[in-house]
Amino acid sequence: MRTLVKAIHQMIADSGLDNVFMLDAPEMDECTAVIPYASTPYSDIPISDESFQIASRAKTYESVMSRSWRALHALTPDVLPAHMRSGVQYVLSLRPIQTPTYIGKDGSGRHEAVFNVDVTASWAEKGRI
Amino acid sequence: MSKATVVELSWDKNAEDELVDVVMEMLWHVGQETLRIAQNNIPLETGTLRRSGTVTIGDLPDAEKVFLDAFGMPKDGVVGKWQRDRFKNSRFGEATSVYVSYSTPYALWLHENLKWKPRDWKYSYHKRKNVAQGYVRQTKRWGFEGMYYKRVPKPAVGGPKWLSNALPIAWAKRFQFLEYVKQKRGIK
Repeated sequence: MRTLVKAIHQMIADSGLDNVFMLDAPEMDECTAVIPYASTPYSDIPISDESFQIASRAKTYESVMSRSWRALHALTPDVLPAHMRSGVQYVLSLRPIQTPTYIGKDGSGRHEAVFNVDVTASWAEKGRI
Repeated sequence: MSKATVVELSWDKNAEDELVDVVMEMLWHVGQETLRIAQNNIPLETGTLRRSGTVTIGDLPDAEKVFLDAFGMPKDGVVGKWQRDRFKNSRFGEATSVYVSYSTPYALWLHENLKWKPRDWKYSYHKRKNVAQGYVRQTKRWGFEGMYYKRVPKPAVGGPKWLSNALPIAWAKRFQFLEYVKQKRGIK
């Protein structure tokens, strides 16, 4: 079954950005990771708000901000791709909640930038909601 | 014979005038509840970050002032003050927004970096190089780099995303706060 994190990963990877990972990123100089960090289910219907952080890392400030903005543009299409609008985990909306934010350098001196997205999605078949 | 239906509308003029104020006060309480719920998940070393939490209406507060007042003057023995209720009756602009903020230089990194663990962040690579009393030792077998420090580290607790995790819980209580504000103002 396709998961939300896979679907978001695919959206970013399909935009042409290389070295995109899920859950965590290996020790690479240039990479982007899709990391789920929170889930808020609705109390009465099988829908939840899922939160993901898109964390990018690069050798220079300019390249990390460029990576992060490219990932943001990949996640703000005019129409959501078909694989997110069918089957279980039907995505109702995908909302970046801020623009890429520079958070400084990691322990190895590489620059890091992050932004977060909220995804409202179902976990039941579309026709059963 | 036709039947007429009479509908009597009673419009509370007080509510009309105070509508925005009621909602803003409700949101202010939601913000305060967010600070309360987040409290135990905020990284703790000296307490400055916890003390710097504010709820403001209309705009963000002056981050530098909030940080300095929360920090205090440790060298002179002046303990920083809690900023939580500092802006209770202040309005920073006409915007109908309520802001929950923490104002320290390291708050952003701690909130957004999902990788750090309690106690780790004090001994980052850059800090390790500059700790006068500390030294680093590596075990040959595992290549483990450990920090050995002469004094016992203070308790370091908490984790990232303390605001994001607290907000949905506080938001779920918004109707309780709305009732409270309406009762307080005498609005039915």
